[in-house]
Amino acid sequence: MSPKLPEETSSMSRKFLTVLASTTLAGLALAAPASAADVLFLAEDVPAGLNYDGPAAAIPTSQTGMVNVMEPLVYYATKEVNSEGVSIPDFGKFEGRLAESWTFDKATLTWTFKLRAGVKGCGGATLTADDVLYTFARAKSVSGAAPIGWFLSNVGSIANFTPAVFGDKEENKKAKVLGDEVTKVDDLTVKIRQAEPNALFLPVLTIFGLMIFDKETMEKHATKEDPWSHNFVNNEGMGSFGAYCIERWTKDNEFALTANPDYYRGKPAIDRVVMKKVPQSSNRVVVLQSGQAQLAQSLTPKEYDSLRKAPGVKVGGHSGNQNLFVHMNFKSKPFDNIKVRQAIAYAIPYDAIIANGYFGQASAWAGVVPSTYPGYSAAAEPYKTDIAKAKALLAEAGFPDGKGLEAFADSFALSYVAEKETTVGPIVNAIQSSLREAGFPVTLNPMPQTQYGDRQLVKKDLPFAINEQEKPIGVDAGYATQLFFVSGDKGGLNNMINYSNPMVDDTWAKARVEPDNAKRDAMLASIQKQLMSDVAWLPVVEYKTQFAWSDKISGIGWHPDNSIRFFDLKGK
Amino acid sequence: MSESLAVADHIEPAGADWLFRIGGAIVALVLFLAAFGPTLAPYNPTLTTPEVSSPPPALADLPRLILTAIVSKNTAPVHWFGTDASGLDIFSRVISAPRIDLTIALVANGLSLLLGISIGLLCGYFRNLGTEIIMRVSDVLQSFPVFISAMILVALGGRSIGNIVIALAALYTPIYIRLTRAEVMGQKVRGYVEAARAIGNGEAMIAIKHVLPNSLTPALIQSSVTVGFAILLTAGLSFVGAGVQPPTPEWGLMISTGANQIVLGEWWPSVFPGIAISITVFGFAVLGNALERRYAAG
Repeated sequence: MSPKLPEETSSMSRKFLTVLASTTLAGLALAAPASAADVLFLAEDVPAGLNYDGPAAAIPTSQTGMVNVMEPLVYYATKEVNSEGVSIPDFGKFEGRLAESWTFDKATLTWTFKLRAGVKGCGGATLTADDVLYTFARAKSVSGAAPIGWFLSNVGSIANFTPAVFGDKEENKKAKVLGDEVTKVDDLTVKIRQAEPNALFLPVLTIFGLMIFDKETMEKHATKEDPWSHNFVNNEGMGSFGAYCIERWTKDNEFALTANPDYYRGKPAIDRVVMKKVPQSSNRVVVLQSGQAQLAQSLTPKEYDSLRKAPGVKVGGHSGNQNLFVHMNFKSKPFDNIKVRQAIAYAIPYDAIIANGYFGQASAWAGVVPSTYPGYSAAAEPYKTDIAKAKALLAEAGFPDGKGLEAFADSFALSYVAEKETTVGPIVNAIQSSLREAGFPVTLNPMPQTQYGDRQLVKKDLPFAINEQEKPIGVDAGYATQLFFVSGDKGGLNNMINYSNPMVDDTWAKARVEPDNAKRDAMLASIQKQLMSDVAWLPVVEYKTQFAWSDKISGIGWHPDNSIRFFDLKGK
Repeated sequence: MSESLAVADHIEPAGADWLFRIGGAIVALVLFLAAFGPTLAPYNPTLTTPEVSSPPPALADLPRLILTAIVSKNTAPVHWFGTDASGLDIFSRVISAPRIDLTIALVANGLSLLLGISIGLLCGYFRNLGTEIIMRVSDVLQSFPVFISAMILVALGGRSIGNIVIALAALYTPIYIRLTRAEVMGQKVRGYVEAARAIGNGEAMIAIKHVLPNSLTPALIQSSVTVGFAILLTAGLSFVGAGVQPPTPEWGLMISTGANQIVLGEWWPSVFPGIAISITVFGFAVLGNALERRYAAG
């Protein structure tokens, strides 16, 4: 519920807005677009890098840069435009992008892609099979700081993309070289062979981490020390076939793009998009309301809520894959006790979080995989707030009224990303109050994003945390299972809670190579049932990815990476 | 000096006593809240209420609400200063915050006073290479911007109340060193020091027993002002995210949390703690000023 402001408050607010808008606009004057067909996009940052095999791949604004200047082989068809004016992809229907068509030979597990003819990149090069081979060879070289291309190829079971690539021994060096798993048939035909049947193959090709490079441009910027041009795409430009070309890129400030006139799907409707860094979300709100900017993202739920009533601004979104869950580390006592985890699950104030944390733009999450993903299975009885039941479970766990839990004070420090205080603050405060009512000695522990990420994903030693930033980009329940819940030694790369269950590991090993979709889905459902029963993650809500835009543009679309495709934008 | 001029020197400037009373009253109120604020708070300052982003009552409604609060004991307490985006009662947090802010300021000030006076006495009474080096180190410490230095120290040590206290103490110690040293240098050439020496007292004994008590006044007067600035610095550190952890009731943290809501028209989460800081710092500054005048007059 948003409060009704007294008249004097609104008046004061308007005066303040005027002053703030004036000062912020002065700073943006240089970035202002030249014509109505241009778009000024306000973001919390500009791309830190465009190399998906580097640390920038984890940064949302860098992903936005990548998906607008690069192009995948295949992508999802559009399903519909929802009631909020946001288009939604159809995860069951793939359409060709750089690939015009494709076939699959079950006997040899080989995919044959026919590439489009006459596709031109910003550097003037024309797409050929060599560009595809270059892309996979670069991924297999694991020469970047974060081998995302290799990881996705491995997840999609492309043959010979195995962990053997890691290391400096002779066999490792040989494994890093692209072999006959990706071959050129002719200038516009490529074959990719899988090692085993795996339904994740096409979904991983849609992800930014396997978008196709323009070999010619990339090799122009290669050096002896950097043969795969990581420095070039990290700092200077891009060689690819995307809808937009880089006009100017000033890190920490501005990322200006101009439409690629030779783009194979037609010249984009918006001639120029300037992505401008405005770190404070409240300033992005002010400038968008002033009409100077046309697009803003990463606002707080409260700011989106306030903009819904603002003249000249539209707000819309889609509950696609963003969610909030409670992370309890299985290696930290007392979270190894199932009763304690269940007690916490019953003490979470789900409705209050939806109402006060997300202003109604979220819904209770009844699973551990995004509910829009193929293979999702909802729990029959999702957790609901029931403090009495939480207390009873706590007593069963050996801690009546929380007595004895003081010994685990460090474990009950609820960690969250300090930089997201404005968004997460109301949520963690609500959780803390509710858990204290149930008897848990919870304290709050905001920490910098870098420290949070390091402890969660590298050291994996965070005992108790709120996480609202993990989204499986691979659109499949199996991808999420592989990434988050399979034991660490069996490939669970982001198994941040140190969960390990042989049933989950074994079932996924079978489901991974199961060609029959119905059987695969049944196996995935049994895995999800087990995960919910173990409270592996404590799912809280799925919230909308929201966007705010000027009513002078349209064409906002949601995508699994939550990045806007500027090609879809239209001016009015 | 004529008798009339001597009398004039002892006349306190007009209004000085008035300022002393104002400053003293504010400091007394802050001390009272530090002791009893959390007990008097109508809501737990760290637990949420169902009312989220609720504005304070309109001025016209205040008499009725006050009357209701006095007469009826069954109604839920009024959110006099409204609630923030989490539903935390701002009035309860504002009156509970002095316990944290003042504790940090007083402990940090006490530590720096103790260290500063000790080192200042040493450096003022015993002039040699060692004490000169100490003074130059102190000068270097003072040359850094206080706020930046505090941020660095807290970042190095970690975000905890203990580390904030240590950081503030380290930053304020050089002030007391310099003040005490200057006073000691003036006192040690006085006749009573010669007299003490003549009757056989050792230098350490003279320094501690005779010079120190006569050199304390400037540092003690300064401490009143320093406490005010320490509160301001603590709030500043919290505002930039280097201070205490949320949801600790602390004025700077409250301003920081509420700052983003101002654009949305919600001024109350940050304005009320801002007023509280201003009044408190004003109180300590005025008290220090009044004490200084009294000292100068005396």
